[in-house]
Amino acid sequence: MDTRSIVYQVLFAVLFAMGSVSFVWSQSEAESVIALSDVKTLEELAKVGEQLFEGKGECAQCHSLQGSPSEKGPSLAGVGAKLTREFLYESLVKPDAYVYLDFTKLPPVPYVTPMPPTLLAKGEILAVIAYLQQSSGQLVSIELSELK
Amino acid sequence: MEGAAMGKGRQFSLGCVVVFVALFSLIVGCTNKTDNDTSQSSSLVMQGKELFMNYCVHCHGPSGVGDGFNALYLDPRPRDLTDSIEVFMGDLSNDDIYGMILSRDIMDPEESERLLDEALENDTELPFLVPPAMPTFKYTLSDAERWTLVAYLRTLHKNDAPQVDIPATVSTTRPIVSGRKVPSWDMAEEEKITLVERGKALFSDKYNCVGCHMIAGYGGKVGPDLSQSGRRLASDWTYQWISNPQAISSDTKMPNLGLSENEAKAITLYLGTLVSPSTS
Ligand code: HEC
Ligand code: HEC
Repeated sequence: MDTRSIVYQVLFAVLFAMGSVSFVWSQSEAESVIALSDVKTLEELAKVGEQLFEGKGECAQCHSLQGSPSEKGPSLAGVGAKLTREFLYESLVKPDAYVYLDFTKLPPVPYVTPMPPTLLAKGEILAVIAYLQQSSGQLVSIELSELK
Repeated sequence: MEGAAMGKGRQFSLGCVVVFVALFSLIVGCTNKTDNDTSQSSSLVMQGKELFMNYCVHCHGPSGVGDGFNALYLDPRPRDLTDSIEVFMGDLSNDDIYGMILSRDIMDPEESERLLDEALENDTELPFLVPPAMPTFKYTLSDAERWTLVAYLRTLHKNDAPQVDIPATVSTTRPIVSGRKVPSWDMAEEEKITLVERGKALFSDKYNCVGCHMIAGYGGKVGPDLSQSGRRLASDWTYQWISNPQAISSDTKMPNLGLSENEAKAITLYLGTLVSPSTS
């Protein structure tokens, strides 16, 4: 065997190892995504809610839970403690029924981008509410039986 | 003899030089000191201005003439603090502004409770508990911060104003009352009805919350319309917020008005009854 083929073999082995590691890694990440239908505890429900908040629900595009100010939408820090569950639900499906203003502006004005009604289904909305309640230090007020 | 005279002359001129140098350094020292003083007082004014822009501008307007966007909804309206037409601020002492206006004591909760209940029971007109529409800042800002506001207000009017000397021992900590325990909301229907009525009166006649919040189309616009509070807000949260808004959001424009526990409970119950459809 000449040195050149040894170099190629080593290179191949290294690349193969890297590829398989990243494949396994991405699989394991995919595994940690819980499906709503598999949810067994309120903890898991809130976890699903978090994934929907960041991903499919697109909430995180305009809101944050850390209270950092944004021109796009009000901070959602503590809303799970502040707002009733019924009103949170309404805010997602009929966001223009009550428009919260930016009270740092004089006079207060609506945020620049009006919020569109959510595309999430009922069970998914409840999961997001569970996430908001949990991250506000509240007990989750949703029953798993409501997801059916 | 001559030598001694010469020595005296030298001593004299040396003395002159020493005195001159001393005087000179005294003068330099003094001018330096006044420099320090003005830059210190201008930083106090800047600090006062920053507070004014967060807590006062919505009612008093950016220059203090009383043209804040919210002035329209107030009765009485804020007056012209620049004294452009008649002298008002020019006649007040610094202690008046600091004490009577910015650190105003609102009536003792027990006293106002007694007056309110009397009026509600006898069905007589509600007593006008606290006439001025101006909120107190005693429970929101530190003593030092309220003094910087006095210093800033003094720059807004042209009439002679006394120099603002902030007391050396003034406290710089904010009077935060943190973490009030939420009361139980279980009670007999009758007790609830009384508390709701009391809460309504406290809201508009004692604390003038209505100066900043609209309910059913009447009131100010600094904060959210509260017409739908009962549907939107969780009672525990409302109680915590109105007891101490700064504990939830440190720079909020809503002042802590110093509500007693009973008063916060009554106002929370009153807000809980507001469920009218969209008026925002
Ligand atoms: C909700 C609106 C509002 C806010 C906020 C407000 N004020 Fe006032 N202020 C008023 C009104 C109304 C008056 C007139 C008082 C009266 O006659 O009842 C007033 C009066 C005053 C006066 C003069 C006293 C008098 O009898 O007219 C001063 C000085 C003053 N305010 C300073 C301030 C400062 C400083 C702040 C911020 C820290 C502030 N105000 C915040 C509404 C407001
Ligand atoms: C100087 C104006 C001012 C006064 C006076 C005032 N508020 Fe507020 N209030 C605000 C502002 C501004 C907000 C929104 C604050 C924020 O989000 O930082 C607010 C928020 C609130 C909220 C939350 C509403 C929501 O939908 O988010 C409640 C409840 C409330 N205030 C009740 C009261 C009560 C009760 C009083 C009287 C005891 C009062 N306020 C006096 C300015 C005021």
